[in-house]
Amino acid sequence: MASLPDALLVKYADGASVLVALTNGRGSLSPVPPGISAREWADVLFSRTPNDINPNAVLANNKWEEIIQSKAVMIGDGLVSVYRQTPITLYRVRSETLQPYSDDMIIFDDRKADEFFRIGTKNLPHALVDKILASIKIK
Amino acid sequence: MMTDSQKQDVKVIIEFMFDGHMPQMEINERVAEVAWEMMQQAKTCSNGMDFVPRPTGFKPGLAYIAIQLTQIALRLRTGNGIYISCKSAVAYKWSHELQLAGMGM
Repeated sequence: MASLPDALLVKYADGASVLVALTNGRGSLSPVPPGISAREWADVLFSRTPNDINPNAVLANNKWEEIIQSKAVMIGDGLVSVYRQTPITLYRVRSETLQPYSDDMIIFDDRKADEFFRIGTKNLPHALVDKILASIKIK
Repeated sequence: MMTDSQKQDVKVIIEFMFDGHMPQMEINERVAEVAWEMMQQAKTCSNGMDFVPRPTGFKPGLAYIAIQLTQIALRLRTGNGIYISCKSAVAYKWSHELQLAGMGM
């Protein structure tokens, strides 16, 4: 087990590991472009495609394009799933090839538009990740 | 074992990717490997850029990575073409992995 100022890593003897981190969308290491909320960023990143027309006048075209372009890094060839249970929205990218995590998840609480949890797993079977997600209790 | 010059090249790349916001860390072989993966992803994202040719058919060793990182560091010192969106996405994806690598994990 190792801890960073904003994250906790649990490493298992069989090589599997789980990272849990809290990200501030306004922080210096945030992927969120300035001027939009982390929720808006995630919505475009995970729910829109390059073929979509920017539906949000508030979101300047250059920001829209930046986010769409970053899909190559954030999602790549991964499979995106969205889980929703008020007030929680979870975006999951599952991939066999994407580095560094085979399951990379971002979790939002509706009450905090600019903060999100990240859970990244390595060498953990997807079915086990399914079970972990199913066990999350919302309080 | 990495030389001081190789470590400096890796540091240049990390500082570029994180805009100087990365905490102090020990530059070791694992950190060099993570920096290499970050540049690979930045290359994929900034499509069309001639950054790092990935060798085919074998896992690159430290010697190969060190040479490539030196060339990348040189390009970063003299100008670069990585899109901001690619850079911030790659930095976000790898920030924790890089810090843990710096801790020897």
